[in-house]
Amino acid sequence: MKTYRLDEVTRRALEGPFMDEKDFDMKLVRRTRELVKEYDIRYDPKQPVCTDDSVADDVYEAAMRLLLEMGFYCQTTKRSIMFEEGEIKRVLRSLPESIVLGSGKDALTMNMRRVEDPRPPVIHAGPTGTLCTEGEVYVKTMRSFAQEEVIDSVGAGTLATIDGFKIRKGTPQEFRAARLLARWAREAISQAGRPGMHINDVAVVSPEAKLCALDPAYGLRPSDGIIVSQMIELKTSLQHLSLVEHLQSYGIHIGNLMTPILGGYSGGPEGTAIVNVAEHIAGVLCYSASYHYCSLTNVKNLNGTDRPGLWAISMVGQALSRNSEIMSVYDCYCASGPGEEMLLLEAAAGGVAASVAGMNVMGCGSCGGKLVDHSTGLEARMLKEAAAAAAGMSRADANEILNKVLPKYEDRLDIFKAPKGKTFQELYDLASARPKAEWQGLYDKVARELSDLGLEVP
Amino acid sequence: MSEAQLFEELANAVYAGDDAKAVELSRKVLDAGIEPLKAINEGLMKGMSRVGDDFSQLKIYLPEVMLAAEAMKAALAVLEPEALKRGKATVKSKVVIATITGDIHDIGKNIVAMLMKANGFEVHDLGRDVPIDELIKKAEEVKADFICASTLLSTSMPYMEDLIALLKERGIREKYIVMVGGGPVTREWAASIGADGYGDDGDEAVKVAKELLQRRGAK
Repeated sequence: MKTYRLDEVTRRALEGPFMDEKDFDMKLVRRTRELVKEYDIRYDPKQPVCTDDSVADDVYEAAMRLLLEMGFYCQTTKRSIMFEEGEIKRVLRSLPESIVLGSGKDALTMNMRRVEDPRPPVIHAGPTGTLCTEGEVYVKTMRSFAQEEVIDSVGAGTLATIDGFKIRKGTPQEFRAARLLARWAREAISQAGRPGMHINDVAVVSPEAKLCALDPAYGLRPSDGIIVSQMIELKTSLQHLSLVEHLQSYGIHIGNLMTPILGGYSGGPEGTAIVNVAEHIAGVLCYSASYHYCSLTNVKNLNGTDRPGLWAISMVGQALSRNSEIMSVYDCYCASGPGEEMLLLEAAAGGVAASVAGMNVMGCGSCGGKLVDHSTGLEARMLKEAAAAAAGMSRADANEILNKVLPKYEDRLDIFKAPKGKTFQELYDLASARPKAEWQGLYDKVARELSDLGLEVP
Repeated sequence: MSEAQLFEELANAVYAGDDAKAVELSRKVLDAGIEPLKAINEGLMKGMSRVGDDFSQLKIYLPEVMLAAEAMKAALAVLEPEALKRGKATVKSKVVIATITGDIHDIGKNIVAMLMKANGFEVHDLGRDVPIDELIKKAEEVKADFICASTLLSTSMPYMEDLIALLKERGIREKYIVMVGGGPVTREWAASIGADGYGDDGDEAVKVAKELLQRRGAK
């Protein structure tokens, strides 16, 4: 059924209104600014999570209007894929309230969460956006996530090399990397005793290379997931739609990856929230995604854990949770690196803001994705534990906590100032893939401090 | 309105992204017999410089930069032809810029291109997923001073190395100032591949470009 919809999507990508891409960007810039003004949506830095339901509903309504007016731009054909309101609503009504991820004893249910939902969020963990060393180090890095009991899913590491080759897009080495990333992720979850755990992606760039990871025996199974990206902002391509076509026939979960840039074409947090909600809806319509990664980053500091960033993502979460069954996953991009207290605080703040907004979580990215092997399971555990601790909390209480946590790091969010920390190899025992005392000790200290602030992080 | 007031108003119109006002004031400049090049430098460029400064501190965001750039473009359409007629137009440094092979992420490159244009560079933006030989071909064609390559993907970074290698192979490396940047690119890596410059963001890219140009001129 959903595959048949792809025929209609493709037809519209071929026949929709033609527009030069720069004109589309400029139209989006102008229209978003107008909608922010018309709905009088205002970011309040004192409230990192907005507590006014009507603002969330306005953001949703504005996003729907934006999508209806702009369409979803196809870069290949330079045409907008246009929709009618009735058909969008019909598709949105067909979405499930929960999905099953993974298989066998390791299968779990991921629910559509609501604002201030008492059910803990699911975490899709992994070295998101972070380069990793190939081979054994990669397996152990992934295992460090998989053997954290609270972590529900792994994936999404990127390799710099394969068999010593620098990986270039569209080369045989990229295709091999896709195959081996999937094998190594499976090896990692097997080593952790969780062979049916959901693997959420292999992070190669070419859509066609991603297909090399699909392999029921050694690679990704239908119970796993693959990310299909959108381009910034509100754009796709025939290449990405082609990937969707095959993923649907394989039966694997599709993750709609959006990388909204706060301070970019959408403007400030208010416009970014509107555009990103529209991108979620486009991901439902055109990608038939099971879940949607909100990978917001700041245009300058490449993170999503600052005050306007948290306001924007929690606004997206609330808008969707109150008005749809679209499962949004906050992808936590941090400025600092592992081995640093700041990274744990960034993860905790992100977890709290996302959780009370009705989102699930993913992470953590670190150091703006600039440093190799700066990713470990422990910061992902903090993200999940903080998000779980905030489940059921009121937004007002969440703000009280965030207003105590944010001042501990927000003056160091500048990409030059954020402490970069250490590598996985320096912070973990490589034989057991367990954190060394130094890193574990820092985690315990931050967890105690957060508990003192009213966030019960184990 | 005095000349100084007119320039200040021009700067304000650019900052506000008000292209109608910027055009109206530009016409007033010509009607008043004021040197158009002076209005460009002391009005338009001053406004755009404020835009760049405020964007680098995130007091404003990209839409404001884009609208300011549009206003500047509209005003330049009035002032530049007259400056050319008077033989007073400045010689602009030429930049060829692109998101390199394998990558279709272009917002970072677009920001750098926009800020460079606003700072008086003549920018030839080749778009995204651009093969390295096309960058070089364009640089040769327009007699560029700079070749700038951007990427958000680690899998496109090797093509930046290839770019420098190909320039050397063709014996034209010294003709160009090569700058690289983008999400995964670091200052250290840029230096390691032999690039001349790197910017953490658009603002730094412009500053570095100006410094490199000065250094080259001093040689």
